[in-house]
Amino acid sequence: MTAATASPARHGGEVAPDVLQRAKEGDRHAFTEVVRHYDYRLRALAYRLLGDRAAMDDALQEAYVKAFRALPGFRGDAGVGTWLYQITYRACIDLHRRESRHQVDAAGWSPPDAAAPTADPAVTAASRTDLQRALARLPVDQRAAVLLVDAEGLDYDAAATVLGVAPGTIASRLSRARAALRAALAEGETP
Amino acid sequence: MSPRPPEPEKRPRDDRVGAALSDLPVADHGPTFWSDLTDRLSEPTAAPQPPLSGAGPDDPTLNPPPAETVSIEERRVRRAARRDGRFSRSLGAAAAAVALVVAAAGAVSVIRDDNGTDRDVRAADRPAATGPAPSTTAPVAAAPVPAEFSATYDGIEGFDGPDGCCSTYRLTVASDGSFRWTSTDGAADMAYDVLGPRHVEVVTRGAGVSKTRPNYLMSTGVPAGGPDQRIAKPDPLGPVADFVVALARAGDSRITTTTVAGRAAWHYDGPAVQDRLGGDGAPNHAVADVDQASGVLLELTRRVDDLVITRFTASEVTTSDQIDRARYRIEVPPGAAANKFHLGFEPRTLDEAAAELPYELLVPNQVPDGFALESVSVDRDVPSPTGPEGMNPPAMHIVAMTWADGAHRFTVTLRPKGTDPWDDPFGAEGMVPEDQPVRLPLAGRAPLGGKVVVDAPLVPHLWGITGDIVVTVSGDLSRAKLERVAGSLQPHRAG
Repeated sequence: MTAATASPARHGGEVAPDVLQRAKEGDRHAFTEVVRHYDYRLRALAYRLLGDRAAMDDALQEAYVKAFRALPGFRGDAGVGTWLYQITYRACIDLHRRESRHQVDAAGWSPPDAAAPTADPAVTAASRTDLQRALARLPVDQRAAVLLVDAEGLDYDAAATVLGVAPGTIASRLSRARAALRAALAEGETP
Repeated sequence: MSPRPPEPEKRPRDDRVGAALSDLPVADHGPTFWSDLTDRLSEPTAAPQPPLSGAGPDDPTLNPPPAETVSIEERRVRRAARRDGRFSRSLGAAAAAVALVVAAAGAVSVIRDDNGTDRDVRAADRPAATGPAPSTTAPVAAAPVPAEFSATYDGIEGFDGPDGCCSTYRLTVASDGSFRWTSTDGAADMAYDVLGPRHVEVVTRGAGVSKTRPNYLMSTGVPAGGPDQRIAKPDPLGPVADFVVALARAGDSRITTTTVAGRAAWHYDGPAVQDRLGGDGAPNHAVADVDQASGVLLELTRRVDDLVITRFTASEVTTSDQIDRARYRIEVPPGAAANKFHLGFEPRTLDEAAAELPYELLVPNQVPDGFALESVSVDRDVPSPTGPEGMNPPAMHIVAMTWADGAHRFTVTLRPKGTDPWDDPFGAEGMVPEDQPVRLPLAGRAPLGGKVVVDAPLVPHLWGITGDIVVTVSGDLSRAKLERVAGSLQPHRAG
């Protein structure tokens, strides 16, 4: 677990339309620019789902190659960011299932380095560690729901699209996941 | 029976949880990530394809990218190259989703076996297939059940073997369900001892471990059957075998007979539904040969259309009339790294289980001919999640009861329903098997309402709810027998 960054500069919004168009036409450099635009957000999802840098890279390699091949068929009715989240999530689930029986850690997830600097001084190292552990204990679909909605700011419909479930299912998963994470945060803040 | 709808979460976003999650660190890419990606985008197979007619914009399922299918030969090349440092990635989705679901709608209807007894399985017409030619005339004779069945398997994925693709393993299975699964290169080892009950897996790869300093994963309190048996199993003991055996014993016309590695086998060659999370590279066809005496897979080929994705085969099959119990125990050396898990199940008698459960112990009063109660175990204090991605309520006070007839087993599991909604305890997200609703009257209780599933890769099973109890019946039983067993559940009378 190395090279973790706590407060990187995030890209916002969607990628420029002309870059996306060139990528759709097969321009590899343009495609790389597209995925670099969304890369932090996709890394955040993959890393927090998988908990391991090598696994994150494996999943994103697969996701990006698949996206490159599928991009010519992307009509743009929905955001390309949502579409990339969806492909990334499926790559992560795929990898998670493949690798889970060979994991050393019981949950198949080793919490990242909790000593990394934090951007919010209100969040203590203790509560962050508790939060990471609580996140690791969640079923992967609950983990994905809470990461997409609460951390990444997707609405229920977009999260439902990414995860391939009904919005009501997102609500149910969020309910369980938030309860566990709130408890972890409260525990971490108790002296 | 439909699960109750979940309680909706009112808040669109929990700012406090969101802020805390956003503050968690995010790893940077490895140093070669972008150069590797550039190389992969330049590969001929990764070239962009023309837009698909009528494709949707945001759902890879509706808007499928061209399948990134990977043949065995291609896989060997890639893995060998990766070991040489040319790649730093996994093969990913195309090779990963290997779950096989036999597709045909209504398929389970043909396996109904109303008289509850097995019929001889006779060979039937089947699609052309690779592999050994099946018998077309001979009925299946009752095969003697060996105390131990052993075979060597080539083509097992998971660790790179000497040829760059797969590894060779030796499997031994005892008639009581214990097994040993050892790679011939010493990279992996796994043992399950029913009498423990204990499961040990030796891990030699991963952070901080090696062949000389392995990690041991030890699970105790393991119940005999699903859905609570959360231990890794060898590929030849996969649930596809249960599916084939269930069809064979029901006289399903899709099952024929053949000989593989000198053994009488049941043969299935048919469609499979792709795992929707696995993408277009997931297999959509299965060819499986199952040893009639032991119920173990001798060969399994997974294809997407005509392209073989994975295949393993058995050779050097031997049997024994004695069980070597020492074979099924791996001892953890003093000082070795070990992760220990207790699944919570402890052996009990039926009377003991009835006395300590907070609900009525239900026991079938009809089981198929030849089956006898083999084990009863109760989990009182270890929460046990089940269902698609563990979404069912984590339950305690679970009882698992297993009946056996030689190599054939089925398990009845009961758990308290509680107040939360339930989904299929054997379910897996991404898998949408064919299921059939059932409603079975029970003596002195609310009817058992639920579903029956006879669809690979899930073990054939029935699940449902009667009053305050969630019931599963699972094993290599036909649909008719699953229903017969479940419909005969009645309160246990002590003594």
